[in-house]
Amino acid sequence: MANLTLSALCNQSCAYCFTRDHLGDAEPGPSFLEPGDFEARLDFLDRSGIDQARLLGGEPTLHPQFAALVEQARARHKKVVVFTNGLMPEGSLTCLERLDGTECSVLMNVNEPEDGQSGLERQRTVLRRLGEKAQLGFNIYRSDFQPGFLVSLIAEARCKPAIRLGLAQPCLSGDNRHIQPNQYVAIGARVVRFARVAADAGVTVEFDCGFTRCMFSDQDLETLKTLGADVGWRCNPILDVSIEGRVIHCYPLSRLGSLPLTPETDAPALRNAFETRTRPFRQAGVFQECSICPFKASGDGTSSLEKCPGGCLAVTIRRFRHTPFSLIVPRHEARA
Amino acid sequence: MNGPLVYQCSPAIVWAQDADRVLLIDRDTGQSWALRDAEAMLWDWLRGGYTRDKMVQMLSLACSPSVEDAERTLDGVLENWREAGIIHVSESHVLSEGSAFGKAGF
Repeated sequence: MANLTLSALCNQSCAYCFTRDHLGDAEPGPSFLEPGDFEARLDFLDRSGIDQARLLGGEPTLHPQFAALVEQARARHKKVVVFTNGLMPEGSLTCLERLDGTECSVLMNVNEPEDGQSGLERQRTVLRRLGEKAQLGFNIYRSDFQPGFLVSLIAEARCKPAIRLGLAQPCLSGDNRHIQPNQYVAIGARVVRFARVAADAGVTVEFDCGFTRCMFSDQDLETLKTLGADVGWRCNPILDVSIEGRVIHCYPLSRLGSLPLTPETDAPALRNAFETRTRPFRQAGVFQECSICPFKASGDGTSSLEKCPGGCLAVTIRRFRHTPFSLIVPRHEARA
Repeated sequence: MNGPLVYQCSPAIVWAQDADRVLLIDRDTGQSWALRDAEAMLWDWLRGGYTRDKMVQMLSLACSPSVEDAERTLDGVLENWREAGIIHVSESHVLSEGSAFGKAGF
């Protein structure tokens, strides 16, 4: 898996946006990926054996040549996966509308209507026109989240009957709004209640990265399984490729550093490099108690339902501190 | 060259408190250490700015039967950490202030 950034611009300003460090730290540069560079990105996918072109931003559909880029990806037989807020220009929507479900899928992130972000009407329209190709995504950034509107939105738009739930994770700077680990259990309980409501309407929930096993009781986990929820504890290098051709572990960890995308680089090598870089931190988890948790995975980022990697690595790394202490010892007292 | 020795945390070292250990990581090399028991206590006291005398006294109360044993333990741990690169020793009073992580901790 790897995500290709097409646009540094976004037409929304979500408080929890985890691209804040990446886009904020970057030198002023191009707002959009050069179409010529997109061919190099597709070459990278080809040599990595990746059959999806996952397009993100900012808001990727704002790219002035979005339709042409999608066409380029389709010419390489890539399934196009678009991560969008749904507020897309008509040209981009038309282009996605023309593709069938085997050629394209769209994950549309929506916020609660009460968030004061305008655009829900446009998102509704886009959802309706994309139909089953579109799936809703919802980022949880507070413990009293109210996702009920998603179920009616799906029914009305007849889009894919599934919702991808994400936990708003911090950038390493912590500058974005994010969930604190001490809110996890309350959020877990609310997720289970919502999964029941969603299941009654024929809608399943899926987990994005960063969920932890201890968010849920054993009984709640059984309930989620019974409801057909796609439950998992994941945290591994996503590989986000920037407009400038640099690869990062994922947006929240952009300050860990980036690697260049060279004509020889492939995804397994990049993933391996990031895993090596982050391995020491994988010994820990988002909680102090992860170090004594019987469900804590060994630290390679992979997990099963029984093994949890310890949550989002950005949260874990933010627990680490450097303390510049000094101890002054008169020479006659010191052995060293 | 008769000034006091100054033990300082190496700039690349970051740490986190876990339930059963203090985990130290060298950000440059990726090497890590899990400190437990007396080592974990000493790390806390160093961070807290305790003097050598105070650390010896507390270590003696907490772990060792005598002040001499506590001194030996403290000196041994400091020497091990110096060899590992966790701390470095100088004769300078100039302290390496600031976080190695830049803005907001990392």
